[in-house]
Amino acid sequence: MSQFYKRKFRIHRCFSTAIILLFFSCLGNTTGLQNRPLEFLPPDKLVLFIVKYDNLICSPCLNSFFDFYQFLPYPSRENMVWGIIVYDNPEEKERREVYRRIIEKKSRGFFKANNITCPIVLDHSHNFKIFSKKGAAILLFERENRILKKYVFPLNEKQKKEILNFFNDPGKLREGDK
Amino acid sequence: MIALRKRSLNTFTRTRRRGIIRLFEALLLIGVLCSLVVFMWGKDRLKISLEEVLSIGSLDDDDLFMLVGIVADSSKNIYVTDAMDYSIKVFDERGTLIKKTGRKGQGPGEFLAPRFIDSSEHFLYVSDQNIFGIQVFDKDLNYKNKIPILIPVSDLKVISDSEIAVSTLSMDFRKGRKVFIYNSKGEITREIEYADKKTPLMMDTVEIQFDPQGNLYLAYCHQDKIEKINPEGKKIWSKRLLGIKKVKKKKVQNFLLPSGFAYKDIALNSKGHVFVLGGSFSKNPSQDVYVLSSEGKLLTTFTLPDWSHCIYIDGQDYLYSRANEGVTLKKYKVNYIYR
Repeated sequence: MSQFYKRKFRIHRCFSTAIILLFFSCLGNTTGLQNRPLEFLPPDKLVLFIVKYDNLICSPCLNSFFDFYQFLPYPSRENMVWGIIVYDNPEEKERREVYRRIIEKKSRGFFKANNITCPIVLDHSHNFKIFSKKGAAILLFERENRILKKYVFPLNEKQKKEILNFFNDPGKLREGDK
Repeated sequence: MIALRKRSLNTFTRTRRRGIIRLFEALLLIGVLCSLVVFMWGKDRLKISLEEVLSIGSLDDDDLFMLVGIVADSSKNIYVTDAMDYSIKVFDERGTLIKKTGRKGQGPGEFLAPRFIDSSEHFLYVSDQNIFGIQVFDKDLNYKNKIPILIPVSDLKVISDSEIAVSTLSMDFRKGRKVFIYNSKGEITREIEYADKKTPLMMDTVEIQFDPQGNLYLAYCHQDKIEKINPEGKKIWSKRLLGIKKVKKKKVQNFLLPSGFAYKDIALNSKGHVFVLGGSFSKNPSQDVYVLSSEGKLLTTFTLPDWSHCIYIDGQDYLYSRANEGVTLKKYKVNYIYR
């Protein structure tokens, strides 16, 4: 991870709060994808993976992401990891609701078939679009220590190690940033 | 003198009037004849309307996630490939999901991107966009074997259990474009050449269909061309319906590839009518279906209620297409109205 990204994504508490708010703005759409109730509150540590809807029909585009997900420790990956599907609305306003439900349905089938069992939400507010410009990405977020880092797939070994450390001890990542 | 002038003027006016009347009469006659011709021509004109008889997969259920290939058999079961959950699914005639098989992988009965499906009396043949070969399943969706075909498949039609026709996405255009007929061991038993060697990459990608007499029908995906070739390989007719000269190309990595679809699929009904689904150049993209006679005459055009990438016609002449971007399969009764 370059110094540029380290600086760019080490942020103030207000921004981390904004991310949490953005994240919550997506939660309204979980019901279509997961059968989990919505009383869930995101933990202090969050790993958000951002996936473009268009990439769902391009299985090879997401292979490195699938491999990495299976590599993450269980059960942390089910508690800390949330998936966010980024998509573009169709031009016709009247088609948007149907389109959203189509994406929900397709994503549900796709992630189940790929053994991705963490909660998946749609980026209904389109706030996460900026994070997915270069393809599938991971955002690491730690509320207490104000950490936010972004990684773009495919990940190298060093990046994988950093993310694993984050799961085990976020403090290490913070010290590394310094 | 003045009287003489007046008389000649009157004669001139009368002659002019008569001329105008004759001209009017002639125009009237032409009009009547034209109406008669239009009436006679229109008398045999076909109009098609669709009546939905079955819908499989709603926005909320988990029956279909992304329908790609469709085939129905004589017992009215409907088999589909689903690209989102890497499976083949069979539905009964009421649309109830009976069975599903397949998962992600490259082993027997596994898929990465299941695509075309066709059936013989006893077996189903399924291709995968990302894996070479054609997998064979019985009608209970049990994996049987794999036909080793080492080329990418762009369309697949089963003539019999010993004759599987395949059009290819092969990049090697030095050999000319061919539809290959394979036996169950994966050996080429016949080749039908349909295009010359000079056409650019992917421009000769075709959707194929065979009639009971063994004639081959081709709908070009990236050219305004629909063709019929007899079993001896002779071109019977070639038709252009869209009036487009060239399909635009865009650069993808190092390749210059066509960026639009002229035609997306082709199907035949029991009367020998040829149904061709138009692509991005049609008035209603991916919805307009052109119906031609077996002689290549355009009979009519109708519009599907929703976008589809494919059309399929079963043995009872029901037409199938997809809706809601592939999460729904629609089955229609085709009503033929002769005006």
